[in-house]
Amino acid sequence: MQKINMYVEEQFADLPETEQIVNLKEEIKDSMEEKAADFMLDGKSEEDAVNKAIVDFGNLAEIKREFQLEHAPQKSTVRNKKQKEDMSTLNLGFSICGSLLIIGLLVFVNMYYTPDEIWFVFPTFAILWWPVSMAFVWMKARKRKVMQR
Amino acid sequence: MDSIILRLLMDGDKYGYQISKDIAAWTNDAFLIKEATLYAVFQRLERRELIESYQGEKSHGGKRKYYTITTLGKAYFHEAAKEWKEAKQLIDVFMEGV
Repeated sequence: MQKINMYVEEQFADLPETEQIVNLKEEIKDSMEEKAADFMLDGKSEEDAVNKAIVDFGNLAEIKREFQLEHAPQKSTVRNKKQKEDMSTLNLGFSICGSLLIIGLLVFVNMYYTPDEIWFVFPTFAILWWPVSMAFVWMKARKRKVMQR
Repeated sequence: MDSIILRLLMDGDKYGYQISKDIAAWTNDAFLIKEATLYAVFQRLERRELIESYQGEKSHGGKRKYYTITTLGKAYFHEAAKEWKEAKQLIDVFMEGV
């Protein structure tokens, strides 16, 4: 039975020793040991039974591949997307506040120094492109979020 | 493959090795599944939340991990069974009389 332990540990040596991996290894070992015990009941010697249990189990790389799919890449992509979505809302809010402040300043300067001539509308149009573009980015991000659900 | 395991879990919670024995028993040893494949499928089904696992009570020595089918898993199985029947009917139409 020591051989099963060694074999499984060796196969999983390249993966980090997380709780899930430890559980998975435990489960695989249990399963192999039980299988070997069954073979021994059929009259095989312990060594034969253990070898057959390991061979019959198949390639552990298959499990490892599923496991890596489950943990490494998925988590990071989900987190990245989430961060992006959060950023788009923040960007929109910032652009609205920022443009309102600048427009407010323009109105003040216009009214205070040259109240006879209304010129603040022209730079206001230019500044409005900022929140408008951010609003479109935000809408796109929201659409993506809805589609993901 | 996924559907076979879901089907076996519909009959009750089972642990990994028991499922591989069940598959052999159901098919009179015609279909022997490699446990490695089985555990890979468990990982996948668990990730898709079609099955859940819990630590069962002790049996000679260690704790055993039991798998149980979720409501989502049952729904998925019924859907898969329906699709399979439709596909089977369709193929039968073309294969009959050959």
